[in-house]
Amino acid sequence: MEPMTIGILALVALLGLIALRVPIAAALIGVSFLGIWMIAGIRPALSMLSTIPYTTSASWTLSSIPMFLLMGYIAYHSGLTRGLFEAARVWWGWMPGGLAIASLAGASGFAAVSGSSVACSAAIGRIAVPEMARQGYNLSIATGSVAAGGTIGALIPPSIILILYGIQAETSINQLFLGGLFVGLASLLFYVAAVLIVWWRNPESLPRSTAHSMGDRWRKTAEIWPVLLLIVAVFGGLFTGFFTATEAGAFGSFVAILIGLARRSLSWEGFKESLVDTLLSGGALFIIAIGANLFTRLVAMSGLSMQMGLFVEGLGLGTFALLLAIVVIYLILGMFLEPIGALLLTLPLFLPILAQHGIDKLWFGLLVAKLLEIGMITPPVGLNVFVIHSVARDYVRLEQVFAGIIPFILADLALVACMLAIRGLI
Amino acid sequence: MLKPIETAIARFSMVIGGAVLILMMLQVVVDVFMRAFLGAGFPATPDLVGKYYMVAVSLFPLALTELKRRHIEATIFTQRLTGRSRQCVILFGFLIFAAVLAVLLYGSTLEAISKTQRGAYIEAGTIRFVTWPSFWILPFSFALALIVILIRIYEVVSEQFDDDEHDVMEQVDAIREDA
Amino acid sequence: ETIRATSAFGPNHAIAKDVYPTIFQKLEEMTDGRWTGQDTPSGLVAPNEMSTGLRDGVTDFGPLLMPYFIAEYPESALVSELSMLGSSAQVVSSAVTEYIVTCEPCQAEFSRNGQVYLGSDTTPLYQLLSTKEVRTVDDMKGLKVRSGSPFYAAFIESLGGVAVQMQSSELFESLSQGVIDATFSSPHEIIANRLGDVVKFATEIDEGVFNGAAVATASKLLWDRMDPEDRHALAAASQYGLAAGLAGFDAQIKEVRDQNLVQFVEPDAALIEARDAFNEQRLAGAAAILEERGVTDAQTKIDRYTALIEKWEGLVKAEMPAEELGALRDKEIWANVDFATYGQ
Ligand code: NA
Ligand code: NA
Repeated sequence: MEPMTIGILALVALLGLIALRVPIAAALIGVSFLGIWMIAGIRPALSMLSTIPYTTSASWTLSSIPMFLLMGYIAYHSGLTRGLFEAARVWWGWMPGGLAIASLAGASGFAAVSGSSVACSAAIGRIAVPEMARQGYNLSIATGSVAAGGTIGALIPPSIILILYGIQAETSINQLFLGGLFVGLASLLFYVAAVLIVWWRNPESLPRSTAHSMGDRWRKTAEIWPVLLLIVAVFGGLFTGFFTATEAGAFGSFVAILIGLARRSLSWEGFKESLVDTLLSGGALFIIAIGANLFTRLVAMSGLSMQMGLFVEGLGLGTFALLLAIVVIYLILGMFLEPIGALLLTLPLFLPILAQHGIDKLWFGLLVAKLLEIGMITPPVGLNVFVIHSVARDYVRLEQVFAGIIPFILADLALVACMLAIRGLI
Repeated sequence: MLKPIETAIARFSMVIGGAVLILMMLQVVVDVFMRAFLGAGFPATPDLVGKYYMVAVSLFPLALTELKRRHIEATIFTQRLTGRSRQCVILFGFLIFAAVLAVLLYGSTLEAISKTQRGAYIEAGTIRFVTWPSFWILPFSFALALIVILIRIYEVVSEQFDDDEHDVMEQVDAIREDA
Repeated sequence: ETIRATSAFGPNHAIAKDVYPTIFQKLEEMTDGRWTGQDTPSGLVAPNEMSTGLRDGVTDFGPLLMPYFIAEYPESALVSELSMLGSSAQVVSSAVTEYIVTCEPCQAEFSRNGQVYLGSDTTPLYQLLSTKEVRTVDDMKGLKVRSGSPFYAAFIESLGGVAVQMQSSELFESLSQGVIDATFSSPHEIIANRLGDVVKFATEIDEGVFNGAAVATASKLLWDRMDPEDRHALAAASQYGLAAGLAGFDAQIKEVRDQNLVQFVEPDAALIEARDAFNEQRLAGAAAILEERGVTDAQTKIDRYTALIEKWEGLVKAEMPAEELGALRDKEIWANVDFATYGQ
């Protein structure tokens, strides 16, 4: 069989297995193993299964993810976050979708300290979702908004994807960061619009709380100093160069524990639960990341991505149609692959095409980052959705989170359309 | 009959995994403070965190994650199934998972043996940092997870498996009453 | 037949842009089109997976960075301890290649890992790339510098600086946030790794090179499919590709200078003296360090490598065109190799 055919069959098999309720990690790893075996033989297939779980997980940079998960759980179990959302509720609860908008804003704030969107979702998700459930929000929208909000994490600097793109495409990272800031804030605006449209179509899904007096508001605000302290410690340390973005999660967890102990609000039970919850979320997530990484290698080996590139090139499209085709390819790849793998896979194909068509590399980098981040929330493999599901799985099903994502994907597509339009104007 | 094994694996995973998380957090914090106030950081922190703690935190909880039924799967197309067909779907998922874990166990054991024979290490600053023991975390974690999945398969086949799919709405109601 | 190569460092790295295209073009010419190559620059095998990737035939041809797998290649990586020797990348990479090709224990290391060594490249001389001006020994005191190897860590510490271990993915952020002040690297990285936005100065300290990259390494599974004549063609073609890569580095450094992307700083005499003293002491202690790593008879090997450096200092002319250097390397290193047995 042609490697291409095997690649396409692998995509179909993956969808089938996931639909049959095979654990997503097992489906990804199993299909990749068989696919590589069929293309290159048993020895390379076994070789990749022996090495890639280690090279994927043995990463200092990724250590921020379990640490931000831990920080979120500790902040939750020591009651730090409840106060924060109480305050958000008394100030903005009267607004339609006030808490969803508050968590989107919170995710954007976190984006400024975290370079990865999973870490960003993890940190905000544990904090925000239970509070939205308390106020009676539709849980699809509640979880969907946080999963989508997390994608802002890789757009607003620092951003691992933009750094990688800058190096590979020889584009100024500072300019990419500046552009990423705009795209990130634009995403925030579009997501807020999505929340408001959802509320407009169905006000009951995002119930408002009663208006509170100013006195009430300030009283609640005065109660949230501990969480402000946590935020100041994390942001302050980061912006003064006291620690790096990778170290921020560990430091934040440590500060959260200290605050919990000082306020006597973190019990031994709560602490143990935080640790176990972190292990469970990490355990579910990292094995999927390993599977997604293996699947990227299968796609590379099958030549599927290269054929897509050649196909698009061979169509002899005008620049605009070409960009549309590239957008579609990224949306398809983003369904299955994790962003960094997809970026590494596609850049060798698209960089030469860019040069030919005179497409600005800076603009293209921002477009690609946005498209790859959309992949974080599209089914069947959406890492942000998985992390939110993992922190909120006591009260939502995976399908509900994916359903809640729909308005935000539509918002993303609208933003992508705007980015294409802006390029037309320049 | 198999419950004690499950409980033992769960306890063991929580204690070890929790300890690694705490160590990881403390070491990074100590490193940050040492770098800021003493000049040099704690030796080999990125290597220890990356090569040991992260491998442990990522893979060691695999068994625990299954024990708590937290592996992520899509139930949308199968949630209406009941009785025998439901059990078949669940069994199919476990069989695939078991096969995948068996291959991972085999491959990672070979890799760990090879790294041990060579005494794999890396150079961290001026010190020599041994990495070969970290490769053993993988076969160990995969083996533990495989045991749990095999127990699950036995439970399904002998019709003792209780999916324990709690009603998510109950939990939501609980959380709302709490508000 | 088409060699499935994996340059692994991305489409814009010198290996993908200069080295491998030249190798495959030369190979096609030399084998009358029987052999050519196709590179997958990223997404298939990561640099830290290359050793097993080549061994198990995940890829046919790729760059092997020995520091990632130092325990596997103690003999071949011996040259990394002697990073202070040699006046240019052209000299060092040729001497390293000749050393490894003619070193029996090195060959055994590659065989054991299912690989065939065909040549190394070397970075240009390392300079101190920094966010603040560094000119004197005093400026080095307390300076937080990223170091990529024990050699640089020891050098930084000998000057009173702080050696910081850091992954390259964190380099940009750390420099811009002030977590570190400087990094040891070749100035071509200002373009190649997009450091121009954060690095402001390059102190021309000319301290060593990175010589641990066996950029042309073939899988034994590929080698077995080639006849001796075609094997020689691949080895020869690799020399032209490696020489083209070195020229590419030099062109990037020239661009950094021409465009004034950073300010080049001349170190004062005391700093140069401190460097020389460190190098002398390090060279004297190299044998002990290597023996501890399991290298037997280290001093003899060091002497042999030192002699090869001197030999190539004599052979390589300043401003030698890449094509000429490739031919010279082919003739000097590979002419007497028996390709029926090499790599077996
Ligand atoms: Na960010
Ligand atoms: Na996706």
